[in-house]
Amino acid sequence: MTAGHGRRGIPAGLRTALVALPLSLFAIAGLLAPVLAPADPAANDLAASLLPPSADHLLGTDQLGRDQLSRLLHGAQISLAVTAAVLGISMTVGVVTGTIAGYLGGWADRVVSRIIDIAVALPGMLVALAVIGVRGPGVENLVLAMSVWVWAPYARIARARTASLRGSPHLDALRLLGAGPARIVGRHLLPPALAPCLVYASTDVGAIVLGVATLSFLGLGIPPPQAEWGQMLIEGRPYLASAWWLAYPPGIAITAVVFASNLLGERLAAGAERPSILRWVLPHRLLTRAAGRAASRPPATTGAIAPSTMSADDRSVLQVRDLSVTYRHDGAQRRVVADVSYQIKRGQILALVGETGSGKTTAALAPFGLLDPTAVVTGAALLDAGDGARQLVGLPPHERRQINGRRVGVVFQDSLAALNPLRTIGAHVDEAVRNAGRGSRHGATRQVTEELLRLVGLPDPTGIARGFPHQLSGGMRQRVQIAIALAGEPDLLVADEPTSALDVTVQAQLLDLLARLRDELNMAMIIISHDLAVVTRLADTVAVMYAGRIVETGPFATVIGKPDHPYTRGLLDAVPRPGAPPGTRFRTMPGRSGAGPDDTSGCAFASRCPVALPACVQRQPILVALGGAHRSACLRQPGGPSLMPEAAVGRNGD
Amino acid sequence: MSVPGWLRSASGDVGRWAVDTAGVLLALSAGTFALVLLARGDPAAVLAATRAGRAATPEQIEAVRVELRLDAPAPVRYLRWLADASTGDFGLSLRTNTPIGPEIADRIGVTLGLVAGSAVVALVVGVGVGVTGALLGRGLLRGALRVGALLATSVPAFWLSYLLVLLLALRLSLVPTSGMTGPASWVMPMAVLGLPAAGALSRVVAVTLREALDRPYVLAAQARGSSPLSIVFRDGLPNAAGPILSVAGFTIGTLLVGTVVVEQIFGWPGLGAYFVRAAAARDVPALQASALVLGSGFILANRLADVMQILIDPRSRRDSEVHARAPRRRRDGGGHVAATGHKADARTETT
Amino acid sequence: MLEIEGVAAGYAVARGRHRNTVVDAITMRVDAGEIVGLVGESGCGKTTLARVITGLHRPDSGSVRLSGTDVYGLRGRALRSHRRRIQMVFQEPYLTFSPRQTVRQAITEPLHIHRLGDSRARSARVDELLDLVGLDNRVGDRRPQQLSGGQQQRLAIARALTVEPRVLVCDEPVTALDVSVQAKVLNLLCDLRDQLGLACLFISHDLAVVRQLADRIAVMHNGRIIEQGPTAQLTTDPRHPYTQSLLAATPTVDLTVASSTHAREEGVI
Repeated sequence: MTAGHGRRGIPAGLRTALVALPLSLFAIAGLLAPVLAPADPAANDLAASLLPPSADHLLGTDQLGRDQLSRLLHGAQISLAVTAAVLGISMTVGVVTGTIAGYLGGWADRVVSRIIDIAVALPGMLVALAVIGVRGPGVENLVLAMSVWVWAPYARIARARTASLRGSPHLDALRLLGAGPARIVGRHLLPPALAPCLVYASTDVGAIVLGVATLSFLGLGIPPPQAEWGQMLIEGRPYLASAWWLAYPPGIAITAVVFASNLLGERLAAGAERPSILRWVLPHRLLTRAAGRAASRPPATTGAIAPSTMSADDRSVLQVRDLSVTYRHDGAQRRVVADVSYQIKRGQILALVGETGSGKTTAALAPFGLLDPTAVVTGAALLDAGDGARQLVGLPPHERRQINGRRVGVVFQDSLAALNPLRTIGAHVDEAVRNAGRGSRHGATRQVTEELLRLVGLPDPTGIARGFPHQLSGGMRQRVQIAIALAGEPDLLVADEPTSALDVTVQAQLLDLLARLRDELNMAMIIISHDLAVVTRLADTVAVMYAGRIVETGPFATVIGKPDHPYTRGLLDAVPRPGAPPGTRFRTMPGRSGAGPDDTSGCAFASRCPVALPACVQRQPILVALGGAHRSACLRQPGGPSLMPEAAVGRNGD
Repeated sequence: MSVPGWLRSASGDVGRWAVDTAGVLLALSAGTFALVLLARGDPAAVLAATRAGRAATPEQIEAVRVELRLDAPAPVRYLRWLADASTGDFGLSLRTNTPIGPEIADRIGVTLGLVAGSAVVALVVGVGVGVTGALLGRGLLRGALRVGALLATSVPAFWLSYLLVLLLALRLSLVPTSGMTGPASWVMPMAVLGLPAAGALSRVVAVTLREALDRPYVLAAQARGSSPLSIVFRDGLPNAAGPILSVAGFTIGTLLVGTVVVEQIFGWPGLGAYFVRAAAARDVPALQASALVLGSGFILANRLADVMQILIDPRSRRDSEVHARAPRRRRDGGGHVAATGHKADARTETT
Repeated sequence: MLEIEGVAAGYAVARGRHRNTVVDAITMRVDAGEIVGLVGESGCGKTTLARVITGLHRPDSGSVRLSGTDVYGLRGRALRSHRRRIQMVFQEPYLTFSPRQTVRQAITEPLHIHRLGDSRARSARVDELLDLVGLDNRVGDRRPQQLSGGQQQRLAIARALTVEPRVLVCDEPVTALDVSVQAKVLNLLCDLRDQLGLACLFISHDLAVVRQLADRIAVMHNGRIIEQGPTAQLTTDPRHPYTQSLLAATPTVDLTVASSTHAREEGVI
């Protein structure tokens, strides 16, 4: 994060252009060589042989008195011509072959793929040398010899791209709309197949230039007296120690072109790089210092709350106060979670509910350091875990490991991605058991593992432990994740959308399992969900999030039964009702979500709110108690539903 | 004790791999043989001229043609050539009129030694630099490693040899400029061959390791309290191993091909130099023989890396009784697809 | 409008000669102005059936008839003009658009394909369609991937409507969407059905959504339809045990249930 600052000044486009500069110079030199060259590259002048660089000969002369600069420029010309010819032939043949094979599929594709595979597997330089070996040197043979192997990767890339698109909904939709094969191939397959080929070509330019120079260096490429960079290098070899100007310029030219081409290819192919994992072991202070600049305005309370003032309620397992999470985005600091406070008691389930981008996952995982390393977390999170309260925000990584896996277990949404595909289920659970300090010997560890797998309702724990993640169904993998989370006998379980990718019957079983574990182990749980219906059976309390803030929180039944915040009402209106007759329209909220917490100075929901007051766009509402633990962040007088006439809620389609 | 299921199914994959490899090698041999069809000029005429020391008479050429069995149709000649080659008989060199087989046997040791030495350089430097680069944060050192690696892959071997000759041989007199004369003479060829390969390898190691460490299972490992060391060694490196292995195989294959240039530069009596000389003299049988040997080595290095990949990845084992159903996808904030996987009732891919 | 009779379909198993039957003995109908819900869990063959109905996947046996004409009995031009009558909306709208086209280009393309109207008529038609699905015509110059998920799905519906279909097959069209966005898209489908008299087959894993939307429901399990009937009847009096378990597992926000189970907590917190 710190090292990145210096580069912010140069825009990405300009940097790409800078990277490509040697390539542009190469192209210009190649195209304009006859104009730019001060002398005839083939004109001998033995009287002026081996002259060092001077005003007459900027790069000196060679053993035959030929002007080195002119030879260098003409060398660029021949390199450029051969490269262009080879690329032109190879890309045309490769992209057309690959695209058609990928589009046709079936046996034609299998035959072409086989040929491509074999061609790619052949050693390129060897093929080129062999072809020249039987055909003799010369430009045409050189182009032929290079094209014989250069085409294959293009064909493979184009085929792979096309084949992946062949069965895609995109092409299905086009077929349904009546598009014929010519339109599909020409307009919808060739362009996307060409794009990655062009990226590859940017690297290939270097490879071809290098190949041409190497062949010429071996005396098998461009024959003398034509000036070519590799050729110039052999001729300069005897004068290596005496006439340095013969060996350096062609070598530097080749290296510069190849280097620029590699760098450009890498730039074009790679996406944004993410920060290093070393951040986990670095002291956390480095990050929090940056946080001072991060928040556009300081949170109501800072992270320096003394534990004593916060642990008033001794039954709270986790107490979060004024938690904010900031990311750097396009050079600006952007909060995604703003001043979020929640707490969770032993034996209870808190549902953190919100739509995409509401910050619910970030708010739940931030206290445990499970965010992207660039995230800056401020505020306070107190974990009361038997041996007294611990402040989690700003905890150094090694102390975090005393918390994660021991006091807190986490279940992630995508169970397939959250498990290492190369390790068995048993290895995962064993590691969790060992991390938690249970089961010292291998046998004992495995015994605990199997107990855990049995606890989460998996049949045949011994067999499952030997299996790999991809061999289990989504529901079973989710149970495995729960077993891992339970390994440390945690006080708190955080489950991020634990059932959202599962079928309803499996989902129901998993929700039952979570309820059972809550009751049997008296654990606290945070369940993150986008779906109010899913958490209905489970949640004791609910916190509804919108645009990075909690807008309403309280006992589940109260919030659902008597929602106060207009957003909560809108969310409830969008949930299908069992008794509604078919065709009943939903009441919907105008506008769309996706705003950040600091995008407006007032309430983030104001622009979509049917009952917004003028003050709503200016003042940020805070959570106000409505009775009991029910709180809502709305500027209207709490409990004033008279202000919210039914007619104001837009009935779409009526 | 029966064979474990995964090994049995992996052996199925290995069997298919072996068939594929044989196919590629066969294609190589056919391509190599086809060189004679591409050749300009008549090999019989060339050999006859070599024997006679001057332009040969039509009768001499015809005699050689019969001796070389060039009168048979091409497919028959291919099968004969392949049968002979498999016993190490590659015929006579058009240039020297001597048998090619023994010549290759003499030279192959030098080439393999050079490849082995530079492979050690490439693997040690490449993996070392790559892992360091992956674990370092953005900074000067990482930038320097990256530019250094890219530079190493970009420098032409023959020009790098010039620079080394200037520095190590002429300026410092540490090593001989050429020839294979003792341990010191190995330094430059190994460096010239190994360093560019190390550069390429280190880029792949850095990128794949970084990617492997950027996956959700790493977050999950953090959530269960695993140490960074355990994450790098248990989750990062094994998951990066597949691509690294295949690039390592490719790198070693490239080294074999690279000997063509390096042996020529340093005047080593290896197979690469022989190949170049055959190519320069249009000595087709010698060219075919050395291309077949070097090409087979290149292909085998690549294919061995592939089979190791099959063996380490449990997902490639086909017994996998997949109860795994495709998850439905929900869209995440930035347009990412939250749950991966394909719809189970979608079409089965035929390829 | 749409009649499916005894349809069985499957895929050739790799390298094998035999076929893996994915859907079997499917018989159902969808009338004009009617939404029929097809419910089933993942892997039950819903998507394959959708592809058979839309003409993308030839069935092994059985027939798909649109207004009495067998879709798979047609060839060439007749097939193409017939295909227009059945359009499909996919689960992932962002995968159905070319990233290289603007919204306007994407909607205009079908008009080009069928040579409908001149450029002014096309432009007017695009505005009309965008308006019909509730999209501001200012989005026309943006790229589909710059739109939100809900907007993309509206766009997909608009594009399907360019060729004036009689039947709309929606395969999990709201699964990837947030609930509040889902509600809007469902409303839109109801409105389009009413305005255009479309026959709509709505495929979903989510019984909760289907029962508020569909006039009739068919439940699919292991490639077969195990029960179908009017929505009210099927949801209140399910006959098949699988339908019963599906109903029981479907999560709902039931206020009466919610308040009774959670009553005990209210005093505590």
